[in-house]
Amino acid sequence: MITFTCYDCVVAIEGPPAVTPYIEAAGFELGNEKPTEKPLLAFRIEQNGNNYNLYQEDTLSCQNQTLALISEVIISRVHGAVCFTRSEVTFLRGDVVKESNLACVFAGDSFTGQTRLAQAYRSGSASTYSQHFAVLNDAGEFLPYPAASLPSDGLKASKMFLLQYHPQSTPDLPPASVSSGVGSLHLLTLVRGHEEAIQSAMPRLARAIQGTEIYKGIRGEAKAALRSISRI
Amino acid sequence: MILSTLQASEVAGLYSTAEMANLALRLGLSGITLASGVGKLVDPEGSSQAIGDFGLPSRWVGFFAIALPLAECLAGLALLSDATSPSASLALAAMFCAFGVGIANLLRQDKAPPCNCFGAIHSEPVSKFTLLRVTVLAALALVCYNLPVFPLVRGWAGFAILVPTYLLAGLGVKKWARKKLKDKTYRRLGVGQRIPSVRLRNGSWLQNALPDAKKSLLFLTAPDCCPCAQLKGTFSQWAPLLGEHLPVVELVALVKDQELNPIDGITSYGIDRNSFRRFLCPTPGAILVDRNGTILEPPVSGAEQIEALIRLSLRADESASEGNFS
Repeated sequence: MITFTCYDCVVAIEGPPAVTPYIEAAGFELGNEKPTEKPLLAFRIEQNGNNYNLYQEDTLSCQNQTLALISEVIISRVHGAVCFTRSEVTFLRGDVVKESNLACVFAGDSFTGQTRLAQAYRSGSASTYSQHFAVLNDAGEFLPYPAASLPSDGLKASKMFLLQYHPQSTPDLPPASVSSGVGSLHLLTLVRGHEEAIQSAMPRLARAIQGTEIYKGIRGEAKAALRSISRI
Repeated sequence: MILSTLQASEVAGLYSTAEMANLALRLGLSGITLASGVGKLVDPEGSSQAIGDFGLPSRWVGFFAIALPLAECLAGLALLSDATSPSASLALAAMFCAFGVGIANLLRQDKAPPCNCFGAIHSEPVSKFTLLRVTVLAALALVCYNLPVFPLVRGWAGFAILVPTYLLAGLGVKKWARKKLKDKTYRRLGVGQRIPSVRLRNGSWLQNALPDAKKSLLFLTAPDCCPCAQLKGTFSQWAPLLGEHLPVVELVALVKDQELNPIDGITSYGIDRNSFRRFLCPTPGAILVDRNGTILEPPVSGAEQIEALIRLSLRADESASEGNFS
């Protein structure tokens, strides 16, 4: 049995140990001990010929798929369940890197290239702080994600980038600085979670963007985008 | 009449061991080709898929899906007639050799689609064992060719009895094959198989309409599928971004007069519903294929799995190292 917690939500996976590297690659820390409380999500992976079937509780979720795809589905469900469960924080779709004890946020939806840009950015002095979600607490600070338990302290953001990847687009101009109002409106579209998530997100976002530079624009390949960013 | 002649001759010690071996081989090979031919004829969709999997261009698939099993049945019949037995043995050996070359070619490419050797009756993934089996059968057909012909069916009178007997045996095999086809569990396309050889609404073959990219995503939808409509909206947002690294081709299952409603920025093709069923994938579905139409990952269904497949594909793609997806 593979178990881990994400923001104090327990996840249990009954299946082959080969699934472990996929889960760890997504940033989750696996534990060896049996969960003391009932898992929020319980998965079972069964071998089916050369492939696998995935069950959540007793419901068949994926049939005859590779372990890589099944792991991807599990990870996606964990992200979904966590952001629906933890209402005390706001989940924004994006990545965060840590630089000089400040957060640099790359916010954007699926397949908009934020992870890749964050990866390229952190290859310098910055380090990975948050993957998949940029999580905001009531103080408007960004918390690391994924983490085993809900962190109490976070980092203030210095910069936020709302960049849209566009193939073969290599604008030489740096992204434009936008007002906090425009930035907030864009960030609200990236809030994930339960129905009241937007409502609770507004004051947190207002605190988060105070004194933060927000840049918006279209970017090309990651290296070219970084060159533009460095000129800011 | 044939059997009584046979029994009488055996008792009298009229035939050599070589002739008896010829008889055994002819009966055995004829039985195998009859089962194989009828099994394939009973499951024409499976046969078409298998022919495509072996790498034949789409325009030939339909013809060979009928011609191959018919040729097998005819070879089986010709094998029993004394006059045509040697040439039938030789033709059969050539057929098994061609099959063997096809199998070796698939194994060389690390592909293991179902061999469809006996059509609806029996099919297993292509393996070294399959190659060994057809090699042995080709060798046996050659041995049969070189052996003296056992006088089994002579002249028109013998042939007149042989044909209805063979047809009767064929009907028995057909009944058996039909039952096997009915019992077959849900099948779906697997890694290494080719996408079905189907014609698009515009008349061209799907295989020829695939983008010239290392891999592309076939997005399977239907106009009356609600989750498809929802996902199409998401795809229209992803499409310009995916376009560079993972070209998407939408295949829409249409009934007669239905109009194609394409997604912005995505190549969409209409396809007849009956042809669409051959993809054996519920909508919304997605299949990752290479430029030849070979399936690279198990087909997926539903928004969650489709997104996971795209994510995995982009992550795995080395050329996307400078690409930019989260």
